[in-house]
Amino acid sequence: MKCCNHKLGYFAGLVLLLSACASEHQQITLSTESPHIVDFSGSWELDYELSEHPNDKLRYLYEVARSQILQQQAAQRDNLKAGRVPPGTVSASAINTLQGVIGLGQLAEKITRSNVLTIEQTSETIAVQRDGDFALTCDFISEIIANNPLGDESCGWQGDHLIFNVSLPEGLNVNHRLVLSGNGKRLNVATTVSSSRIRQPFTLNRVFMPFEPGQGLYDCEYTLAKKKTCRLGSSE
Amino acid sequence: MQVNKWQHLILPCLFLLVSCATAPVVVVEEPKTISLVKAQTQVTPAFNISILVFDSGIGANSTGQSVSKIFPPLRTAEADYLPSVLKETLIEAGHWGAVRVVPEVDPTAEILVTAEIKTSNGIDLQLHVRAWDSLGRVWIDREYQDRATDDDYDIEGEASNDPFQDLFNEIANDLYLVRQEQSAKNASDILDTAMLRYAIALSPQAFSEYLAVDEEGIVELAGLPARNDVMYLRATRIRDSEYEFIDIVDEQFDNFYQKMRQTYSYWRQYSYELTEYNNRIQQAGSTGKRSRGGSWAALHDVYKTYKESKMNEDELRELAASFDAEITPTVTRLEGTVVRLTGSLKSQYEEWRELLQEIYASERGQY
Repeated sequence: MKCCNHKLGYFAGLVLLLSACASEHQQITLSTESPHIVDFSGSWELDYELSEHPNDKLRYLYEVARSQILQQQAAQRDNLKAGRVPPGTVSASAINTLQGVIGLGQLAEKITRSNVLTIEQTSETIAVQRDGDFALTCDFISEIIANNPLGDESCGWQGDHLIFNVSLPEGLNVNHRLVLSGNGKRLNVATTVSSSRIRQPFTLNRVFMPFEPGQGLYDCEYTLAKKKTCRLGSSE
Repeated sequence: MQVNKWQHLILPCLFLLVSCATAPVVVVEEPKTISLVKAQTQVTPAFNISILVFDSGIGANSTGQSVSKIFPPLRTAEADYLPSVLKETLIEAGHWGAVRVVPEVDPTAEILVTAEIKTSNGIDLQLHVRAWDSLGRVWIDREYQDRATDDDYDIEGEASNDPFQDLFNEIANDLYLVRQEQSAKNASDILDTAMLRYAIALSPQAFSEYLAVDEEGIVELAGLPARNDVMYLRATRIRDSEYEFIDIVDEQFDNFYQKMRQTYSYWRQYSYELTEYNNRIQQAGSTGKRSRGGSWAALHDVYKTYKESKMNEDELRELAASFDAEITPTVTRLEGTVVRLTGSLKSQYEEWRELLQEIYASERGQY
């Protein structure tokens, strides 16, 4: 238990730090170079124990917002009883914020469904393949920002953190921050979804642990003729 | 009182003017439709056209800075794919002999066409096209651009046209216009010079004297080897072998084109939808006419389209990587010997060229 408590404590600190960083909606300065060589490459699977679960987080935020609303309503009642003029409808903006966070949370849940990451990294590029989702790719040699029809995409290093960011229509912004733990045994992907319509972004931390590939049931191959084909792998 | 009389007229006029001034000026740009000029009768001689794989345009923009970190794999794929769209268009036009896509500058080319991709994003395609004949005279050196419309994407299945078919039709028509301007003597010189250029590449000592090149790179035919010149006949035979090889290479480009076609058209369609969505939001923002926009559902829609587009981008990236990885070894016969070439198309082509030069040189006793 000591080990797990220690691990959880470390993780909680990491999550808090990341949440604090990620929730600040600020201009991020990215670099094509990391001060230290951080190697993310390998196969990673979701560590359910350490990862945040969107529904739990949404429930928590709901409870926080509900308690705030109740407190404000109680304060209103006290003001009325004391014959003071209430400061106005206190709960409307809180409810709007809550609705907004839930909207972002639902989107964050969709964005972070991948349970397996396969990362290929060289000194020039990185490709984070996510099962059931598109790959996050970054070319460290080229320019940081790419304006293309899909939105303004950027990626690069912020210290030891690798950042992928995209700004889409409707003021939607999605940011993935990859951080490797000190011993290299855990990879945290903090995904922050924000919208210009709501001040508070929604961040979800998903923690991954390394695993040995090739032990699965299927061997898959991509060819021009057949596209992706999978066959049962050897039992060895 | 006179003033009051005018007031009756002035006020309606003012209203009319104000209403005219505030009404948005909508400039409707008619989509450009360019039909392909098809051959009614066979043009003779029918020149062979070699289309060099396009320059992806990655690396520098107009300010000399590197651009776009996301698109390079796609652009590389497009540089291999778009030449085949032009090839199909030229074949359909029917004015030409063999039309081939080649990975390297083709010394046998009677007409060589290439292009740099300036813009390609599903809504706009802009190419800088250059075409020369074997005499070094420029046929085309200009930019072509086309903008896709909803109708261009109102398509299904593999048999559909390219959304930018108008652009390729325009290039094909321009090439045909220049072809029509060629006199019989010019046409004959283009054919002879193409052959001589090839012979010079094999043996500069034997054939250089027949071509004179001026400062601007324009070639003038100074003469021709005798019809029964043994070495010239041999060079002609070797060129035929080269044609066979280029045809095999061209088949691989064609395979890639067929495989990439559907995935690429989906990617372009998603890209088009997102760009159009952006435009609509910008326009609606000023007039206050938003429908689904502004809702949480709209946010989800935007991300869904983005995700689909990116997944298509991944597939295109895999397609492009597979094209390089799955290039089959070329097995062909050369002078009674079976030759097997491996590696990228470019390296196969270079190896083949060296092989031909070696054979030619050894025959001539230069070794």
